[in-house]
Amino acid sequence: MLLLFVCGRKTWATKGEELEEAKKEFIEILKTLQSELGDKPYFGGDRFGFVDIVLIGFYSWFPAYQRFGNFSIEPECSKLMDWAKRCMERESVAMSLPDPDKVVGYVLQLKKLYDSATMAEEVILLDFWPSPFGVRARIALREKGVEFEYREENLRDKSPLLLQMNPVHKKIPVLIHNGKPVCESMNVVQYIDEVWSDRNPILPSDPYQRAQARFWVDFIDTKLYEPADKIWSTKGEEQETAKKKYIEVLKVLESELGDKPYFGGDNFGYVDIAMTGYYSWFEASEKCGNFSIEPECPTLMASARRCLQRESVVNSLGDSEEIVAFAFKIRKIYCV
Amino acid sequence: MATGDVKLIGSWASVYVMRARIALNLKSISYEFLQETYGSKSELLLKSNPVHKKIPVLIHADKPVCESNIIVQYIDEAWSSSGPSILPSQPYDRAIARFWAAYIDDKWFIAVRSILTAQGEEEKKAAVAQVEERTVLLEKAFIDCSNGKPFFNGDHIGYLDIALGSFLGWLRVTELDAHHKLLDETKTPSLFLWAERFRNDPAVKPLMPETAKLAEFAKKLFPKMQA
Repeated sequence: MLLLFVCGRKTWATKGEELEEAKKEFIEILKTLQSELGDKPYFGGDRFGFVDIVLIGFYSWFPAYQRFGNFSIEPECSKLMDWAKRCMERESVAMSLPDPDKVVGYVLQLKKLYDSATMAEEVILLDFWPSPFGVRARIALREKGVEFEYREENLRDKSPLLLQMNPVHKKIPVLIHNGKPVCESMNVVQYIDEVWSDRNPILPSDPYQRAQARFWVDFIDTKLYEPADKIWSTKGEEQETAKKKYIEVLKVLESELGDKPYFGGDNFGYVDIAMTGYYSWFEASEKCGNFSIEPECPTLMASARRCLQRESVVNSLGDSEEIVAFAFKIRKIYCV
Repeated sequence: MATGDVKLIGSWASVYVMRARIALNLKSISYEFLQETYGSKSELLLKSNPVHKKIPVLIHADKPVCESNIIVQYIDEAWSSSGPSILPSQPYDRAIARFWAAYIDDKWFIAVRSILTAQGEEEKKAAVAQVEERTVLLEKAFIDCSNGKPFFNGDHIGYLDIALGSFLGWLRVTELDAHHKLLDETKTPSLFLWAERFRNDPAVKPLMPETAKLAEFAKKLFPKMQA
């Protein structure tokens, strides 16, 4: 029966060779059952029994299988179809089985979901686990519920695939969607938003709001990058200057945030995703720079915590301890 | 359908302002051009772009939009039902256009600019070599994006054409300064032809600054220039 179920499902959920195989197997199974039935009115003999009950449930699905699989059961298994009609005369059966037309409608809906999921398959992300830029792509994919294959890159020994997919910058993250690469973290996030546009929007729909979101992301990546970088990679005067600049920029962002829970307003959005990359490095920055962000930017910190607790973010980040440890490890190398 | 006052704060010499103006022209939007005086910043500019205090700033129904590429995207989205599409229709093509537009600003033009700020012949030569290398990449990008059509965006100029084409006036000035062709018909033949087509596009032609006038202005910004 399980085999029948699996094959039945394939008649509407697959195409091409897989579909043809499934149809063949489906008919084979029905023929086996038909020969088991023989001349008996029911599988249970003269009485409607266990096997009849188990099998008749599939009958409502036959029109759906036939329609989507483009085949006909009756010519192949006429005796079995007679049996089915006999069962349908029983009140208990007629009242319990769903209307086959409704089943067809239901499968149509399932197909829509299924087709869009299978069409947008093969999503690979080339990434590096502590990267504040890579994490943005991971979060966006998870916000959209997109299945993807995560591939860890060793940045000191870049894979041929990375070099092939991002020959210009040779950097992660690179999203490879059905073989085609998209590079630059916020480009990847916009792309994800546009391809999987039917759920959980990342950018707002209003053109002015979108322009504002893009403006702030541009601000973040232009102004925060260098000071953030210098906090872990330098010391002394240079580090002090970087810390001051970093806080200065965070304060501008905090004033833009205002009293909204997220930059996106009530919803976690494009700017929040961009910032979460930096939020994931807050602790590491504080420890490397020996300073605290919270007293300077309390509401930004509150928003940061909110973002860091989101499921898509939690699943995209390891322990913050690990990033701190990583930061100190590279600090030793760069900060002589 | 977006309505209301449209103003653009800018300057005739700015590459970035030109982008916004080309986009407005493509969508046939009438606007008031507020020319900033070189060396000072107007009250309106400081109020509309307090973060960067830079041009261009598009003010649409009293709401400011800043950053040239963001303005171009805004114009495309706010006036989506008028004129041709500025961004490509497919998400993948849009991602490619955005990638190269960012490359042009972050890598290519930085290299061009370093020719104008170069101290001495050695530095200038190195800067020129870097620009040539990066322009070859753009030639390849053009071939990939255009797919045999006249522009990066296909049959009509679009986001990426605007991103690169807005630099053509300054590129000419830099070529004069370097005594060297940067858009070369032998090294980058497709781009060379594309540049001609871009300059002659009706949305672009009236906006292209005269090379002599621009070169004169450039001397104020880049005193080391030899043009």
